[in-house]
Amino acid sequence: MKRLIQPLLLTIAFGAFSASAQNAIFKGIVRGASDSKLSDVTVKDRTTGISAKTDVTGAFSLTLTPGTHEIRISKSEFESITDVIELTENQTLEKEYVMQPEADDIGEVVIVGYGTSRRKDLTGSVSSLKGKEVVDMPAPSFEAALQGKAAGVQITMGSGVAGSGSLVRVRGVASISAAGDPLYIVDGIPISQDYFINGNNGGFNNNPLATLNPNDIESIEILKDAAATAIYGSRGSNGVILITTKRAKKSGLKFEFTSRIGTSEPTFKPQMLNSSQFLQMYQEAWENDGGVGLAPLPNNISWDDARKTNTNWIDETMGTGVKQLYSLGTTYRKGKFGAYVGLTWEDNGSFVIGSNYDRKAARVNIDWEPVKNLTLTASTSLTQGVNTRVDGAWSGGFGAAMSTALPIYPIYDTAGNFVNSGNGGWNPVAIRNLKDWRTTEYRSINNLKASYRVNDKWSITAFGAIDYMDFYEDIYEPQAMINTNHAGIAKRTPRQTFNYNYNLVTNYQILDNRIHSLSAMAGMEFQRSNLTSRYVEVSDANQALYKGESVGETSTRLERENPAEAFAFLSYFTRWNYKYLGKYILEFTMRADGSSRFGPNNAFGYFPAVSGAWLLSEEEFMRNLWGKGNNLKLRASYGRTGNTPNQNYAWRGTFTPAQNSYGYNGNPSIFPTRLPNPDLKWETSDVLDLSLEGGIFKNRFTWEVAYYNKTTNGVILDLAVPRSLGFSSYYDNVGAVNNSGIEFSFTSTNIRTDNFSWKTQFNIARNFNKILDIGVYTQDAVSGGTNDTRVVVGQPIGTNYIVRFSHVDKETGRPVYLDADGNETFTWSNDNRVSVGSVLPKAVGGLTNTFSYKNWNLNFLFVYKIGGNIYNSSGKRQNGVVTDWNMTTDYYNHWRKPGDEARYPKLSLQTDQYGLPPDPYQYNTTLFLEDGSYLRLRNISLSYRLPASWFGKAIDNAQLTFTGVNLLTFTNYSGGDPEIARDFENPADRNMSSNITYLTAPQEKSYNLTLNLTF
Amino acid sequence: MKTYARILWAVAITALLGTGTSCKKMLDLRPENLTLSEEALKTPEDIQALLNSCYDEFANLMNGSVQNYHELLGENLSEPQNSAGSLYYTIYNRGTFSFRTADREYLDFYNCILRINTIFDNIDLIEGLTPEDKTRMMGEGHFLRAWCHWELVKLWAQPYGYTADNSHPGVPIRLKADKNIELRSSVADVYAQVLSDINSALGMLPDDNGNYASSDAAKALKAKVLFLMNDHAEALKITDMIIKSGKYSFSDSLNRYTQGAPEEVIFQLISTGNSDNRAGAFINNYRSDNNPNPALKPSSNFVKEAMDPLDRRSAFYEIKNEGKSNEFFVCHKFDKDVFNVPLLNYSDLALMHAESLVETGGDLATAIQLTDAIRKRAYDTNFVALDPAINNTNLKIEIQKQRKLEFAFEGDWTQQLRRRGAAGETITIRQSPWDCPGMLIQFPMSERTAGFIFNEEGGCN
Repeated sequence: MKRLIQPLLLTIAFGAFSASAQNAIFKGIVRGASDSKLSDVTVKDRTTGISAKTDVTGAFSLTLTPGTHEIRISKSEFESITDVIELTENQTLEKEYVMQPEADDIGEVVIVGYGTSRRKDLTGSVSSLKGKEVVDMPAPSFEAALQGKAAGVQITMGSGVAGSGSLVRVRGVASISAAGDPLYIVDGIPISQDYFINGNNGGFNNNPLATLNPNDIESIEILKDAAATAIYGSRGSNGVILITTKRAKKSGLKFEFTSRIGTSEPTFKPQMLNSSQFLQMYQEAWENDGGVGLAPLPNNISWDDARKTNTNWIDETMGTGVKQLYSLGTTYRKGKFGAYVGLTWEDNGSFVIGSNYDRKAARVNIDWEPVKNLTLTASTSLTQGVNTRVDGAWSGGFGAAMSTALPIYPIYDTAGNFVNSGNGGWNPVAIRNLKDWRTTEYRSINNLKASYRVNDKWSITAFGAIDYMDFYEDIYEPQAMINTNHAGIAKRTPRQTFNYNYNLVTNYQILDNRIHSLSAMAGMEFQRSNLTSRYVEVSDANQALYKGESVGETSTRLERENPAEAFAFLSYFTRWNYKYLGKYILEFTMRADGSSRFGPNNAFGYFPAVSGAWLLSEEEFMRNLWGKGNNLKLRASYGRTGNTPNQNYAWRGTFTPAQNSYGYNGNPSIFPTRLPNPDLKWETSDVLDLSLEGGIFKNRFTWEVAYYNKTTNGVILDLAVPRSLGFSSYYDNVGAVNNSGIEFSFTSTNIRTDNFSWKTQFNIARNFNKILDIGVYTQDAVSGGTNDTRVVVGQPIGTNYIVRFSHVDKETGRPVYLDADGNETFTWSNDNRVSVGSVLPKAVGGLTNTFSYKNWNLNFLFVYKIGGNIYNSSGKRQNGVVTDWNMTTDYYNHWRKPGDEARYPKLSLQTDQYGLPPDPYQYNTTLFLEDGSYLRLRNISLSYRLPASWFGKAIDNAQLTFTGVNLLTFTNYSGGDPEIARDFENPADRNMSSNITYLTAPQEKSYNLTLNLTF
Repeated sequence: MKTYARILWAVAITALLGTGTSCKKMLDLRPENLTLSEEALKTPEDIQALLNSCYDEFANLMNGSVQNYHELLGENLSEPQNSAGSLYYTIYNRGTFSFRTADREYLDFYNCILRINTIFDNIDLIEGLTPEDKTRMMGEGHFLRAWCHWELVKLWAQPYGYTADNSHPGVPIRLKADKNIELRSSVADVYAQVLSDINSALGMLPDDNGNYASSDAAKALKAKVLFLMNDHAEALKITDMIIKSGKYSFSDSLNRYTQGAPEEVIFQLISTGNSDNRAGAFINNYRSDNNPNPALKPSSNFVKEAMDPLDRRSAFYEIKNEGKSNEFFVCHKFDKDVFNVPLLNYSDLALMHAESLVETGGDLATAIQLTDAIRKRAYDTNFVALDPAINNTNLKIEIQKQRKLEFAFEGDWTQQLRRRGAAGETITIRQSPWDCPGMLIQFPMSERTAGFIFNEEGGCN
């Protein structure tokens, strides 16, 4: 009896209380990431103190009195949500909330291969970036924004030429002839990634990432070690970069509009000589050689004409460019349907006059759950990228301004016509005006994914994707350029790549209780890429073909279909993940990858990885030692990844058939073009990774230190075999390379008050790269594009193998070299080359500081590179033997009379005065090898959130940002910009000669103003 | 619904996994427009086409490219222009750099040898090949392989006789189409291989083979090889055979190239038209009727000797800017759009025969007669016969002079000087000894493997 009375009394009391007003019901559903339902969420009414928890379906229900209530929705590791609701009598208010994982790293959801994981549970090394960080860095191509953000990821930003791509290296370089860039996967599709689809035309490589719209990116994950990349087995040995595009997450219709305007200038302008300076130096060289009278000038220019002319070719080819960007992103979500639509137009002018990249992009991402347990996602994107080209580097343009375009040459003759307007001549202004050159790329990346949840434990996902690229280059050269008797020649090179990919993945949660958790994933994947290309040439044409075909009467048309190429991958993979007591994690992955690039004996490679993590912070003894709320996790992994050659048919022996060759004496001929190598197989990397990550001060200061050791075997080399074999090169697996290093990074929330916060992020990575073995071949077997670096055992990839320069002889002014044994000599010889430098840096990293005060936010990012040598390959021609090249002002520091001490020797027009063979290009010495260390203010941005009162309810958020890119650079390098983004000839060149500069454009310095509105 | 879904997925999984069985096919991708080597050589037409490609490649080498290198090393040309990276300028100046050398020709000779070795490796497997054709093709293969090795050793090594036993380094000999790297064989071994291949060819080649190699071509080649070895006795036997056969005779034409000399031709490279021109390197570098500044120009010393007003061959040379400080000379011997390249011809054998007779103390009257035949053609109305009592030394000098003028710029004279140097004569070529290191072309960088000996660096000063 007594037991019943108390509750009864309470109920009556409560009922009496509440009977004074009719109660309202507040209910709803709380969701998490990717539309999952969150259970165990606390929904608390702060006003009355009533609270409830959501059930397994994420549903909650509170009975409340009418009136205003402040509701707080919270769950550990998620960001709390505060909401204010108004309830009237008898009202039933239904609301839905989406909770985001907590801003600090631990609870964050990370995209990994074929799935997602919580960062806490990761056993592999994964760095994440949010889309906002990508967009905050105004760069023509998104990968530039990765610089300085993730330890061990080195980015050399594309040069100032519009449309140029960055060079990305994850934990050093492991490949020599095979591609050294990481694998890029966009929404699950390994995209077509050919930097050499247009060769090195005009001193410029293609950027396959140029048509990916940075404004569409939701997040980027960089997978660094075998545990993370082995699931991608093939092609994962240089790291994997996962790009995820935006989807609709929040309910309702939301818009985000961005507009940006900016300028582009060179970070450094080359200091070339002007007319009178050039004449003085040239005359001095002539007299030093015993010449009498006035020196005969290049191109038979007379001294009178030369003295009257003073063309500043650098100013004629480099100026200020203007960039603008307009982007509108729309998300709509209602219940089970969500869509993201993104439209962007970006016009990227460059400081290189005449160079421009125009991108128009549209994307639609849809999520839909048509029936229970079945989720469909579809994405489609279409981009048009138009790159207006000019010659550069070795092919002319600003490259000519740094070399053969002398200040004594005029642009126009007395009649007002261009002088020397022929192709390959020294008048870059003429060529730029006459030649009509553009490349157009249409890119469409589409995918469809269907995910079916069979029951609580088992789900199956089917995925299909198509990446289509239509790329063509149009060149028009009018009569004035090519000296013909007809109007001009229009050329077009169309290339199409059709890349399709499908996979089927199944996930099964075998066990899931408080003690054990075991899950398994298995899948198969097939990818195929077809490449076709043609060549069209029309003579007597009046304009470029992109303007339409307009020809004269004598026009002839040549159209040639090039042989089509294709490659395919077929893979099977599995991943097993076991978690014990929530703090011991063990993971095993295995992938079997078959590639069409190897013969039947070696088609399949096997790539296993095993990894583990120990959440020390969950251990009782650590909680007391380390402190509650502080993270401490130990991770280790060991696994194998692989790489394939860049050539699709490298292993096959082929003959050129009769119809493809002229024959002899009127009879047909066939001949072998390549000897077969059926033993060509996967290049494999075995990677060990150990890391410790932790946080202190309740994770206000988090840090991570990692050690990795990667040994690559069977390195694929495109060997320059002895020509006495009868052919000049073939692909083979030779040699071994080791990359090891240490990474350290930390994030610190230094100050956090209501109005002001200061956060610092820092990372540094030290990489040791060493070639262990190159078989029977010598270092000349594989060389960089302009014959400047070598593969030397015991040295890093890309060793500068040149003659040592000792000093300038004080008595004679001649250069003194060191022979192979270190003795001084006046003679330069090939045999005196030694390994002296390395293109790879010792350490790279970044430092970011973010300050925010009320509505203001100031962020600046410093990136730095320590070590690594830059070889100034064009410097040796500018400041070497005097020829028809211009010189730089640096060259004033040369020897003039006996007793002088100078950096450069006596001026001369004769190569033998420098102990050189009769070829000024051979002056490869350490005189032009410098330390390439630098510290650069990559990005400074100041933003202001415009007060809400200006716009009222119409606009959620309006922000104005000023950003400066590459504003400050600190370096000892004397040749200009130390961040070298050069044009390359082929993949080996790209791996081995990254720090060689040859008439390379400097980086771009830009000022930008951005307006961002969300509504 | 659930059951249907389950069935659907089961089917999908099976279907996709089923692709695993045909995985080999999915990964078996072939290059378009090219034939796989395992399918390329099946029929007699296939192997004949491969043989034809050997001639094709040989023709692209001997279109003046190789001959020009010999001339640049010699004394008959003036210094070419020093435009950046000019190979001709480097070779003229006796540069011995492996990064600036005749890479392309070196590769192409060995590629031709590779093709021939491929023929030898596969000829037994061809179905439907008649024994006559098989013998003929093998003979042609031996012939071309001999010539390729011979051309290589002439440019890349010191001449035969430089050392007493010819153990000085020659070039790699390749007799198989595989990937095994061969080091340099001695010059003795290379010449032995050359002669062995020619002797095999002699036994296999037909007497008449159209525009391709005949047994006479093998004989003529053998004679040239022996002559260059200073083996005059053996050379005589062959030249005698050819002269006495009566199949060839002196032509009236002064210019075997542009005017043709069909009576003389034992073997020539065929150009079928403007788009199939096998004389390209001669025409592009020497032609002066439509080019005021050809790349290769005769030296003043040569022209002094050649522009004898009594000699009709002097019409091939012209003085430009006469008397001025920028005076230079041009050659008109190759002024035509397209022509055949006669590599083995009667005049050459005749002069060899004459010189060999003098060297061996043989029938001087025949030597004089042959020499006079050439002189008569050259001097025409100004011809004065040689004194029948002329002494050996002076006769040899006259024979050599005629050789120099007859075969000017055909890639012959420099080899003759080096041959004579090896025989003991004191020879300097442009103020440098005939055997200085710079007289050899340097091996390409790619040869730099363990154990390979490069030619000495150091030029010729």
